[in-house]
Amino acid sequence: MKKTGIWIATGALLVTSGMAFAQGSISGKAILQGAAPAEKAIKMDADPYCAKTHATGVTTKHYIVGPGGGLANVFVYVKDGLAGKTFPVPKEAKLLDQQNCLYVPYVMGIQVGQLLQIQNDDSTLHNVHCMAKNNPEFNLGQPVKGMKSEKVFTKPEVMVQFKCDVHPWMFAYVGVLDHPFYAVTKEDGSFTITGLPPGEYTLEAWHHKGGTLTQKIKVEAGEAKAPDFIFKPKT
Amino acid sequence: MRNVPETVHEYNIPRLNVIFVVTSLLLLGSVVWMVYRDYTREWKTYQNKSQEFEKLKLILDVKGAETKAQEANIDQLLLQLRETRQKLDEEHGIVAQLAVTESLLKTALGVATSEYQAQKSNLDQLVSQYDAMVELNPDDPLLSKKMEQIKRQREMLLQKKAVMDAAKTNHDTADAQLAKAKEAEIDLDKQVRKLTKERDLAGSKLDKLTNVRLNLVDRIPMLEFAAPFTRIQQVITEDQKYDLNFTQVSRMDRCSTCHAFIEKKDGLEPGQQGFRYSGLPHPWRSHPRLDVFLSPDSPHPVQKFGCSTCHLGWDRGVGFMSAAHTPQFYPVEKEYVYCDGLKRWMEPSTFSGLEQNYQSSHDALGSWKTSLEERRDKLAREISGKDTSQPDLAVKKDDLVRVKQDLGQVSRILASLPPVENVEKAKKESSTQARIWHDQYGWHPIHHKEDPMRPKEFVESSCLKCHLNVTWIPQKPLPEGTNGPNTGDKINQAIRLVEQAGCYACHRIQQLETTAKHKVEAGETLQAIANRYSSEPQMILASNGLTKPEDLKIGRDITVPIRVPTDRAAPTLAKIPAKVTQEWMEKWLLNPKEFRANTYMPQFWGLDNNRAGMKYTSQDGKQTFDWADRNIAEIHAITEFVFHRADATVDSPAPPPGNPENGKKLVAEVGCYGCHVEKETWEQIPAKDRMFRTRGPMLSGGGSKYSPGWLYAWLKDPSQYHEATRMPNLRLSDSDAADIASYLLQDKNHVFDEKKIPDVKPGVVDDMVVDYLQTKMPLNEAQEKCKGMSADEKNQFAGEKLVRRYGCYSCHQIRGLETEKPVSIELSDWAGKKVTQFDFGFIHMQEKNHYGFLHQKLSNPRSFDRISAKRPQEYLKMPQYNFNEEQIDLIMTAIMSLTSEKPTPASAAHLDDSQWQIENGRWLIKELNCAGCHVVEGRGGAIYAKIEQPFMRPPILAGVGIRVRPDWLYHFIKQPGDHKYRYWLNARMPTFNLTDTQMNALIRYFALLDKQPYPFEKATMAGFHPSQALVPAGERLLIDFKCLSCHAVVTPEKARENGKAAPNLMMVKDRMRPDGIIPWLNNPGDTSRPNPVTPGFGLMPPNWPDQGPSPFTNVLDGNVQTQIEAVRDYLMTYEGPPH
Repeated sequence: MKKTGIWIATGALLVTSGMAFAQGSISGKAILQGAAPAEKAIKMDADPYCAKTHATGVTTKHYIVGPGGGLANVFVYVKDGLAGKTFPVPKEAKLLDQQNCLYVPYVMGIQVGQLLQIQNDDSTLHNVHCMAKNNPEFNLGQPVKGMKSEKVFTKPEVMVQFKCDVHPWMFAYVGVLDHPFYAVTKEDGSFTITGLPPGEYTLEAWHHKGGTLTQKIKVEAGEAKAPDFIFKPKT
Repeated sequence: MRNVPETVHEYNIPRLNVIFVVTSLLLLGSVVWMVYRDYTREWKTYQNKSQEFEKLKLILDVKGAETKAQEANIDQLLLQLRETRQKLDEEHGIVAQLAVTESLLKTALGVATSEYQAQKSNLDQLVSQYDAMVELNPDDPLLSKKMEQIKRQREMLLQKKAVMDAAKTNHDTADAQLAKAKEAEIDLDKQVRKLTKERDLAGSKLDKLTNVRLNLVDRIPMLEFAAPFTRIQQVITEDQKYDLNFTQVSRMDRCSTCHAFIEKKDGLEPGQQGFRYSGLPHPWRSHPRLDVFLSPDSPHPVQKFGCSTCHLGWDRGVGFMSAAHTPQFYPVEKEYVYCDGLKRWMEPSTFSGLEQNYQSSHDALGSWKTSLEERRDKLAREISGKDTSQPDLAVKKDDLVRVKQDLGQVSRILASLPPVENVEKAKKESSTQARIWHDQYGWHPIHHKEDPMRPKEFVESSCLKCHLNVTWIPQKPLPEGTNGPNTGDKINQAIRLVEQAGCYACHRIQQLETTAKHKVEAGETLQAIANRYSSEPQMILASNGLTKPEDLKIGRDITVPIRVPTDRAAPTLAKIPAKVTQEWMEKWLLNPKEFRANTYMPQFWGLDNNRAGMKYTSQDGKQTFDWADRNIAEIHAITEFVFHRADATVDSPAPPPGNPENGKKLVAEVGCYGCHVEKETWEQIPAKDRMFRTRGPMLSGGGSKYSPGWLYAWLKDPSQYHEATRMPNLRLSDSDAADIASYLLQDKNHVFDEKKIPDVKPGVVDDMVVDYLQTKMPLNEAQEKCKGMSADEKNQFAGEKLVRRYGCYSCHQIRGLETEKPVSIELSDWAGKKVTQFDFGFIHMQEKNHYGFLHQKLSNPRSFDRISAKRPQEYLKMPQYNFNEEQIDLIMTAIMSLTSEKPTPASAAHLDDSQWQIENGRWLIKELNCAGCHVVEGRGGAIYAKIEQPFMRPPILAGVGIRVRPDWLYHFIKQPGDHKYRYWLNARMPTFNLTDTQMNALIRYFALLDKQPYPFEKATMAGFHPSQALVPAGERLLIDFKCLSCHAVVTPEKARENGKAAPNLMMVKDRMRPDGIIPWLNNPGDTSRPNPVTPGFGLMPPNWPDQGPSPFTNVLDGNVQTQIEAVRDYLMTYEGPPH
């Protein structure tokens, strides 16, 4: 009798802890349907340094398309379904780099309160002009190679645009969220969001030229497969 | 025995008894009735209900405090508290002990000190004895003995000193220890207080809550007289008086009797959970924007301004009807929800706010109860069967007692709380506010109150009562987390619209005029007076009926007109033949809006009292004419008259052929869109830009309107056509002007072009002439005279009469009629008129009031005599503006603010000297439409929507007074073309035709706005010498910071191609204030950092991020401020890029 009680208790404990820690993940793919519009050449001759780093010429890279039409640099995130929950802020910082007069990466995500490091790897002047609407706007001059500035966003905002007024072709977009469930699609267009508690969510995929697409998805323990996000080319 | 006579009564006793009983009963009944009526007075029911809301609020407050205490981890906190208390007790003991030791040592020190002193005087005595002996007999044998004695005594003294010093050290140590212990004691005491504070707060509020008197005992009729907690609340405002039967009486506002929480702030962050006064239904709901109204720290504290000063209504009324509430004017059907518990209709948003308030109180109490229960059980488990004398368990035991107590209280309150179901809705309905009010409060139209409350839509009409002499009624920025129109937006837009539509031209509106009273002093010239008020000498003479400056005698009281518009409300007609044809003008007059949708030129003909098909009888009564023919005759006569009166003009030569494609580009680029639109209608322009972009006419239909030669000449220099014009000179080259002209002439309005003006019927003209002639002579004489007139004479005669009748000259300059008085009645006290003074004619309205009349008048001005039997010249003549509903609403708001009621000087918005000067500049900025292209004081920038790239936009004019040298500003405004500071811009700063007084007013405005002294002491180069030592470092920094990445001067085309450009640094030394560069370099407009010099486009990055450190530590030791000074000093000598 006593033993049975212990078994039941242990069982209950296992079940409850199993429920508490069951986590799901979402994987999927962003696809570009149709031919990507031709990229335009960037004229960097206004700054000789930049022109020199791209001796063979440089074009815009709005559409990076992998095999099967996989579209890279799409920001996918959980838009709805997490209301009322809070998530710890990662300790490690995120890096937004300026290399060869381009922002690297030019699409990224970050959590509210997480440290954003912005670095200049070029021997030329960059100004990091953050055009946030919901967060405070800021503009930093980085005249020296290796200069690093640190900023923290206080409110969620998708997406925050960064530009450089010295080099008008430069841009980056940072998705600021109050949770860690986001991903940027890889070169083949794939993405995975892990560690999601089971539930029903709205996923949004954002591409800086293609606009936004949303879909609803139900996540249980284990991996959920999201239908492809299909973007149409826009210039 | 005497016979006692029987008392004889004249009345019947039993009957009297009956009467007595009946009257007593009646009296009792009436007393009961009286008490009942008093007990159930409307306002008392509201105040009783407000108790319940107060309770909800308290619950959430207590819960908040309790949560805070819990968050601090109560177990640990209690243990800590216990330990600290113990330490404190110990410390008390230590302190006491130390104090004893200290006092003992102090005594010892005293003894040692006095012994030392005694020894010292002893020694001194011996020494002086020895000296005396030496003097008497240097060879005295006793001397050596004495010397021995001294030596001994000296040794003793040294010993005593050592004892004393030791005692002193001991005492000092003890003293320090004591002080330290005392400090520790105080510190511990503080800690204890802090630890108990949150809990005590929660506890005391909980006690208060349990004591809230909600039981019926306190509410028994009659008994409640003893200690009423319902009472009439009132605010008496000494400053705000109104006319009550010819006496000025103070306002005695009793509004807060029912509106109990009107000035209560929510005290919550946006989105934070909790009780909100703003979420209650009326009358308990709090006032919106408490940062602007009612609060003691707002500009309009209720103690000073009261309520009825702005809302009007019967100030002393404590009933819904007696206070003269007025429902919303626009009978818009809205959804209303019925709240069963409150027996009340309310708007869905209010309803959900109320529901939230109830729900969160219940939730809070419920969860509190649960957590207390959990805690009680936990504590009971932990101490059950254990020895509770151990300190940590003793704490828990204490806490358990307390938790049980709290739990009892919380449960009792929860039981007494009205259930959430109380607010559950019973029904929903669509209705208007008037109908809802009728059902709920028995509201009905009021007739006997002179100043019923303002409908909600028109509350801002009250602003103008105090805020006179300002261009914009001051506004506070919207609180964070809110959007929607700001308080003051409506009245400001309304006044702008009244100005633009030119209402003031026909109707004098004193509120829109600014004058100053001045007494001429000895030695004061006319020019000096003009300068002082930023006025013009000619205007001062004219408005005082003077002709020569010599007429200004010393001591004379004059009025100085300030801020007088330079031009009339509408274009001049003095040279009209050069601009348009007579045919165009006749077609235009028929229906101006058909040609240009945004025009403020109204329609006079073809309206509700002179439409085609309507008939009128001829003057001799023999014929019937159609109004269509009369309209044509009137239009023709007016056109003939206006063209005849105009100056003789020679035809402008045709412009050189232009390129319309380039013209189109130029129109978009040079800045036309700051004041004009091409085809967007008023509704299509964003609301914030409307007042700026409808400043000039629409640019459409040019080909159907203008003489090409005129347009070309006008574009090149508008002032050659009309000196006072508001259109500035854009310094267009001949080919640019030709291109723009060709583009504007390309656009034609074909419907308009194909319209034909019917022929004028001579019989109708004759009748019209006779109509006007016979006002001066008998009918037959008039007919005779008419017969003798030529067709042209008839047109000239009737034309002038008609121009005078309709008042064309009020808005337009017409030769010979320049000094005529405005054609219509003054509106300065229109809102103060009695309703009985309005002629509603045949218009039926449910409620006849100011608003109804005004709305009808503005939407259809001629409708009042639709079926009238007047002579043509007796018909209503106010023209039809074809305003849209939004415009009508705005104009109504402005007109309803026109009252002669004046605030007392103490409460009127007072302008000091520098504010007057700022207002003068502000008015000019508005008048010149600077904000069409620039953002000034957060307003404007209307053109920005048309220029995508921020660096191509005209600059934001913030921080000008700090940064820009006044002398440079003067030259720049005078000759903008000479200064290529932002050399790459397509948009051009136009040349304005400003007088020196106006220029100074502008410069002073910018200085005062940034709190810079005027005249300018530090602003110029005088007294500034760049440090030669710093200049080389500055040059170095300019290179290191790569400033020339953006500031290099290239061709404008190249700059636009690069997509970046920054001002020409070679002009810095002429343009910038030496002291103004420093704050600019410190923070050139990053609004996220303190004190940005200008909230600009943020294109210039702060180069010393976050005030340092400098990225270049090798220059000037990396000192940020010295580096900034070095850059400044270098720029002040900058002649071109370094090599």
